[in-house]
Amino acid sequence: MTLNDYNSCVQLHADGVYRFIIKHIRDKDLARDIVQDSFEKMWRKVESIGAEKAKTYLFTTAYHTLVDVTRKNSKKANFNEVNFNEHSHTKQYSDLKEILNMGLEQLPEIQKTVLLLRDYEGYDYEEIGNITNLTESQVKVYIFRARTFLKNYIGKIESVI
Amino acid sequence: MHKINKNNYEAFLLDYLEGNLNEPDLENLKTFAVLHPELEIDLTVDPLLRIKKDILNLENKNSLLKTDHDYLLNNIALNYIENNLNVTERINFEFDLKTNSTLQKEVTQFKKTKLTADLFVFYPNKNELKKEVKVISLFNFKIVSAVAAGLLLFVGLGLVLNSYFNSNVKIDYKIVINPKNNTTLPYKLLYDSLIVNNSINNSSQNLIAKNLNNIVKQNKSITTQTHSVNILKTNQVFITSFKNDSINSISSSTNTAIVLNSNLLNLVNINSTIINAVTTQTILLAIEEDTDESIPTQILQKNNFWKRAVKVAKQLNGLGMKAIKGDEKSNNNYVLAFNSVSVEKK
Repeated sequence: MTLNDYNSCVQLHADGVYRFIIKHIRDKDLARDIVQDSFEKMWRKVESIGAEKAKTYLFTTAYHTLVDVTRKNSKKANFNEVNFNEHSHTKQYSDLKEILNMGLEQLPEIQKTVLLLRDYEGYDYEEIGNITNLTESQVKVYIFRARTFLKNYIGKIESVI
Repeated sequence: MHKINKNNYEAFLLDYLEGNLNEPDLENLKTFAVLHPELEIDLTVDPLLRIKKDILNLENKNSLLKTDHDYLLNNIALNYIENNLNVTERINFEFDLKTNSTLQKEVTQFKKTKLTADLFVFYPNKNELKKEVKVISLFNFKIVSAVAAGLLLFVGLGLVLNSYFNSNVKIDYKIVINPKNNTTLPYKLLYDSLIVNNSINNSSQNLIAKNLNNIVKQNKSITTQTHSVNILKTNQVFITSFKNDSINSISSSTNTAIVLNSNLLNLVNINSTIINAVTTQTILLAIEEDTDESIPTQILQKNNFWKRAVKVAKQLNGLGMKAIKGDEKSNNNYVLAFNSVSVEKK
């Protein structure tokens, strides 16, 4: 990976990584730190990373940094325990995107991660598995669970509206 | 029950074999069998005979069970929007989709779960992530500064020391001799030699006294005469005179201080050009008795900037400046190191 490749990577993927991170943590400064840290880690290995692998390396690094950070600052509930069939909605939602974002927040972190990588970045199951250390089958299950949950979530909200 | 005849006797026979035939019908069937022997009806078979079940169970039956995951992953609508269907499956599904309103609704709902990135969210100041040039860490500004500072320190100390040693006292010549017979050397150098002016005037005497006091760590004092140095306290030796190019009179003790004049320089056969250049001067040595046989019989080492720098580096290292290291290797090789940067003189 050359200097130009690296700088191209910044230009092409910095926003994407930032969006990916900020969907998990709402702290913009922290998200920015994670992106910076990820690029610095990539820069240190710039000579050993092929240009074609740069994006995956970047997202993998960012994801693992994110996991470390969220473990340290873990104040969120473990959404693995959430009962997806019961939700209380006191807020009025205006459009589908807002509803979807609210639903996304209800997902377990890992489901959110794989779904974001799938929809935001268009990764296939295998690539997502490489980034998140999951098997292809696990990735697929998580994505399908997430979609099913979101479908039901949207349906419930829309029926209320 | 109907009357038994050739058209229906098999039904009676089946009921008999299954044990479902009542007693009157059984009697009728027996009579019918006797009347029609050509039918070869056998009523001797045990009517309660059953085919016993094989006790044979399918192994790993549980593996055939399906889980919620399987059910989920088989969801064709989900697979459709995930683009997991092959061409044929997709065509068939889309064909069904046109006519199946339930399927249409499900697909529509799943399509709504597709996330789209907010393209108006940007990483602030991407340029701060970019690199201008690939800088090898060795030439990192901080390291360059540190190396420069270290080298300047060595050079500075070298210059200071050089200036000091060249002024009055030279401690650069290690000369070890046996004061008695000038052959073996059971002595090690206590301090380096001192070079003073040959003319032993008062100032020179003071100089010798001063430096010799330094040598013997201020435990002793000396007086100087024209061709000799007397050390007045105990455990000292003194040279009274020189005769026939040899040391005429010397007493041994633990610590000795010897003054050599130009004649004695020849005696100890010092060929160093530096020594020769100062043959008009007197060399003062301080030696102490030592049984260490590993000490060379005659050592004349040229101490230069590198050696002094190494010595200073070692002293600084000993004082806690771990970043600085000095090493003197064999064959006048010297290594000065500051952090991970080292300079070697061969």
